[in-house]
Order: sequence, then structure tokens, then C-alpha cells
Amino acid sequence: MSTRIRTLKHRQRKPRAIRLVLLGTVGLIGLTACQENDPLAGHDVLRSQAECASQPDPDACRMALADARAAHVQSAPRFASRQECEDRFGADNCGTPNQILAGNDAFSAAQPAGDPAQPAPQQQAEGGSVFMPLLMGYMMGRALGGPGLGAQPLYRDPTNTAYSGNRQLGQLSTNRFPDAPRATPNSIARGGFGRTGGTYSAAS
Amino acid sequence: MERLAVEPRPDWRERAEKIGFAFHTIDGEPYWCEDAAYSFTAAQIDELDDAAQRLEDMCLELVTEIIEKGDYAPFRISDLACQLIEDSWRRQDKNLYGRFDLAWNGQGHPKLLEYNADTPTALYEASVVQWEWLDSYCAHCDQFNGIHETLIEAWKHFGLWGHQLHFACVRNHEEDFGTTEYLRDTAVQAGIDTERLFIDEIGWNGKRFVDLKAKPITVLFKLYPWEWLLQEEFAAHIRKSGIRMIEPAWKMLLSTKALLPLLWQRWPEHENLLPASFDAAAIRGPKMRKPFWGREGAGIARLDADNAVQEQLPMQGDPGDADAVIYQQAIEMPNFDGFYPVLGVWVVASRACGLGIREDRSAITRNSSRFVPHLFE
Repeated sequence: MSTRIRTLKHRQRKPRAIRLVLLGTVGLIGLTACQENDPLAGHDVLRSQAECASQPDPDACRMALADARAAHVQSAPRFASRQECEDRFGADNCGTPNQILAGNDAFSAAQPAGDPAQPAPQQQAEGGSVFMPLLMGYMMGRALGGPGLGAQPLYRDPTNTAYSGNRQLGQLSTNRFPDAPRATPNSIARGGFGRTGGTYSAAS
Repeated sequence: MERLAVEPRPDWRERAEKIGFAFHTIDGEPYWCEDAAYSFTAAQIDELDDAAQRLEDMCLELVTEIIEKGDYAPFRISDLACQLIEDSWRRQDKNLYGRFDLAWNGQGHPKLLEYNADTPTALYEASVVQWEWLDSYCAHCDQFNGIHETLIEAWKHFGLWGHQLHFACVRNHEEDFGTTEYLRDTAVQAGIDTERLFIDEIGWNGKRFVDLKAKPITVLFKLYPWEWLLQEEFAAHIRKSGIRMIEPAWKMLLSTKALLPLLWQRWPEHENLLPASFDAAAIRGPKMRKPFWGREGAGIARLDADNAVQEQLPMQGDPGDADAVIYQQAIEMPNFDGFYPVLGVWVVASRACGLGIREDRSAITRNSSRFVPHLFE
């Protein structure tokens, strides 16, 4: 049989400062209105391949955009149905990977690039496919893509929050990017939780 | 263990408000009190720490056994509740926090009165407010209080990277809101992307729960009891939505007073337990009758040895299933200068990590009880 040796675990007082980030000197309420900076501030954003024409090296630009589209198809979220995708990313703001690769995104005129044997996206059956948010544009940055132009694919949701690949970039300023997709009109029911509590405390 | 008379700091209200503690006075009555403090020895603090840790370990063992056997009959819960419990257990949904309410006067062993495993409050007071008090009251004293660090550390293990974590509580209730915001504060410090809303603002779009911006709610901290959620309109959507909740549904097996007789059956005569049963006749002498789901003392009655009701606190809202009660041996509650303290030991991610004391002039701790700081040397 072993004897249990009692150790006093709490004898040493350690210096300790409690830091709060939401609560604290300003009080509980009123801290949500932080002004966030537009994540695309200071970047050129191209809306479509057509805008490559105004770039110093239009061919390099088109290639960079094609790469960005491929990256988007690789890394943007996928949904099993158009409805699910649109619930999340807004009405008329989703497409199949092939539609996106074909340049049929929200802003560029359809410019089927590459394989002419590919069926036109409009005729393609949607059954069995996956759906992903359409591109809103491309963030250009010379640091990103090595020697040439780099381009990052951009997409957004009805709250005008911008994303690239699997990353959330932040809230876009409506001054610079006004036309966010509409939320899908499917109705949202509210008030289905909370009746029992009313204004009782749930505390225990 | 002693109750010390303490001179309140003249500026305690301003100090409390400065650290975001807006609910120091509830309905005109002081809730935070610093005219007294409880003092312990280090060995007594160890005893409390060990007792709470043992109880938490026993609770987890019991839950494992119940779910393995699928024996939910004693809990009087719906089929949906059982399914949600099993879903959350299979998914290994993590638990965040709980508070063991113990009766003790420093002698013998602390006894479990009840476990607040689903929606415990008085957390911010225990974690932040009483520490701020200690710092100005006694520079060399210590406090059983690692709650803040333990919370921040716990959040990092929730697997929430890339998720948004929503926090919800009832509206128009300062104490619940303060507790929820404090927890959100610790989550933000753990690097988690958070959003808050009131429980009645949660939307259902036919497939998912959504917030006010129509964004899906995939993980929800809810300061709202499971048994309330499950009797409401949206309850039927919980399973198919795939939402994860904190506390997870399996905590329903611990947040009910039905836990008390089951612990006693499983570990009879355990030094930290009081005799408890579903059957009044099984408990000799005076006893407490506690509804399964009463909060803040609601519905608790004191019965004499012949099971006649001596005193009863009103139920909060719908009394529900009148047979869903347990009986627990009544003990003489520790009394210090006319006050009855209840020692609330906090567990975070199933580790005992701090103490908060509430005291009342009545032996049944209610919502009106006052929070009193503690220290040890």
C-alpha cells in the first residue's frame, strides 16, 4: 500500500494580471463598432479579363487571372447544391467549377478559354456537380506571383465580406465595392428559441 | 475557514464598473459585497480543489457508463434529448465549464449540494472581480483562482480554427449578458472569431441556424438551458442542422439533479456526497426535495423526517413534471455570523481551477444571494 503524500499545491502566489479585451474600461456595451479597414485598400482589383487590356503586359495579366481562377476552383468552399451555395453566398452568385474556369463569373463576359471541346456551360447538366461562389474579381499584387503579375481570386457574400480561397479577408467598404450579391430571398424564421426563458435569467 | 469583516473600499462601485462589472447591484440590493471575505488555509484550499476534481472525474465516468448502457430512463428526458446526447458524445463535443456547489465549514469533507453543469453564472465575479479586490486588499494573500487562464487555454482545444463561434444569451438580463460577454472575451483572447446575438434572434433558414446577417451558426455557446431549448419550436431542427453547442448535449446528464441519486448509487457513502434518492422514504431524517431542473433554488423544499413540507421556494415559470424530483439528506448548513455560504468550485475543461462564494441569510441559496470574495494564506 502506498501512502498518499499531501502536497500543498496552492502555496505560492504567482504574480498575475488579468487582461480583458472586450470588457474593461469602456464597459460591457459599445465595443462592437470597431472600424475595420477595407482588406483590399491599396490593391488594384480587376473585375474581368477584359480589364487586362489596360495593363502594361496584357498577356501576362490574362495568364495570371487564369491561374487565379484555377486556384479559386481548388480552394473555395464547395456545396452539394446551388441552393446551399446561394444561401451562403447570395442569389445568382454561385456556379459550377467548369463555369468558373470558363470565365463565366459574375463580372467578366464569358470568354471560354482553352479547350474548345468542352461543352458550353449553359448546356452542361448541373446534376452531380458541385457549386462554389463566383469570382468578384482579382486582387493584383506584384509581390505575390514571382517575376510576373500575381493575382489572387476574390469572392464575397451578401454581407460584403471578401474571401480568397479558404481565407476570410474582411469587410469591404461599400464605397469602393457597392454591389454585393443579394441574400437569397428564402425566408428566415426567427424567435423559435427563447420563449421559455423570456427574460428570466438562465443563470444557475 | 473564517469569515472576516472587511472594510469596503470607498470607491468599490467605480472600480467594479471600470472592469466591466455592471451587475454589482441587482434589483436595488447589493450583489457584490466586500464588507466580508472568507479566509482559508492552503490545506483547506487543496481539500476543495481535490474534492471538485474527484467529483468531476466521477461525473465523467458516470456519463460514460450511462451512454454505453443507453439507460436514460431515470432522467425523464425526451427521445430527441437522448439522440442529441448520443450525437454529441459520439462526436466528442467538448465541455467548457461547470460549478460544483459545496457545503463546508473547513472541517471534515466538503459535501456536494449540486452541480451546475450547463449554464453556471457568477463566473466573472469569481474569475476577475474578486481577484481585483484581492490585489488591493492583501498583497501577500492568495486566492484559489486560475479560472481566467484556464478558460483561454481551454478554448484553444475546441478545434474552432476557421469556425466562427457564436455566443447567445437571453435579452434584458445584465448578469447573463455579462457572463456571456466575459466568456466571449476569453475566446477572443484564444484567437477565436466570435459573434454575439440574443437567443431569440437565432434564425432558421430551412437548413441551418443563422445569425442576424444570415450567416450560418455552426458552433454556438448558449447561456440557455438545454431543457428550455428542447421544449421550443426550433428544437426539431437541431439534429439536422449539424450545429455544435457549448455546453454539449451530453451535459444534460449532469445538469439535472437526477445526477445526485445516481452518483450516490454508484459511489455509496462517498465522502463528498450526501445520501440522495428518487424515493423520499429512502432518506432518513430531514431532507431537501429538489426538482430535476430548478435554477437559482427555484422549487426547492425542505421536508421534515415525516416528509411534511417545512419551507418551499416558488418555481420559476412552468413547474413541469411534478414527479421529476429527488430527495437529498438535509444537513446543517455552515453558518458564519448569520450567513450561509455555498462554496462554488469551478471546473474548466474538466479541471478544477477556482472558487467563488455566494452567501445568503437563508439556508437555500437563491438568486438574491451575495457574492463574497475569498483569500488564503
